[in-house]
Amino acid sequence: MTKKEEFAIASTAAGIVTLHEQVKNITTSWNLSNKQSGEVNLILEEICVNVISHGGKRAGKITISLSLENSVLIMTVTDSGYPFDLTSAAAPDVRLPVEKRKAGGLGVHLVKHYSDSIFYERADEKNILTIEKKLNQEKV
Amino acid sequence: MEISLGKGKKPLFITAKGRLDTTGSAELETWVAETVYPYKDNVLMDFSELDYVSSAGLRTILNLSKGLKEKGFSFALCCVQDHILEVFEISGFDSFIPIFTSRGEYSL
Repeated sequence: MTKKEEFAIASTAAGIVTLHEQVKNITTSWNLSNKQSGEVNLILEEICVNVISHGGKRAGKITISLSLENSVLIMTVTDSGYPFDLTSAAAPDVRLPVEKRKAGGLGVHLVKHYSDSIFYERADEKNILTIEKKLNQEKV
Repeated sequence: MEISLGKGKKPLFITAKGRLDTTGSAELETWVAETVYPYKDNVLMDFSELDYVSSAGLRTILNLSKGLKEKGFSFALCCVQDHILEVFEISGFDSFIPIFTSRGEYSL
């Protein structure tokens, strides 16, 4: 049976707080493990933070939908901000010495690490990011 | 996020509990400016009760690490939970931040 949830957050710091609350609710109702919950939370937080910083004033509400079937989680993040394709962001060079390290790019790097696939499309003036993640057989 | 200071001895022991997410990292940054840099000593952060870190948190940690280094002090972490350690390893932060399994190991 497919489980589905959808919610919207504001493209502000307060919206990120809402995001955490929503993920916490879904964790409970879908019985996700702490590890799964943390990873889902991280993927979504990083994407939303990027939407907020790149989307500009047009970002508006960010809609997040999740569906879970046969241990495969599909998350979709939609916003109306300026065109921004997270998948094409440059990876940070994680081997640089500390003096040269910058914080930029880390969020995207983490999303890519914790997701199995990410797909971007732009349609109807919206950025739509679809992320697939297989949840390991712990309990779903 | 809850941040607290260890008592008395050097280095500065900080315990961070909860989540180092977008909100938590803003709190830590303020705290660092007000308490850590004025302390003027090496810093050890205990992450045993830190459950979550996002790139915002990594940014704060990176800035703290660089900031202390510029002032001639060291920065280290201890007691990091496995899933948090994974984030640090993916980001390559373990290459410039010493990570100890316990406070005792740091003191050796």
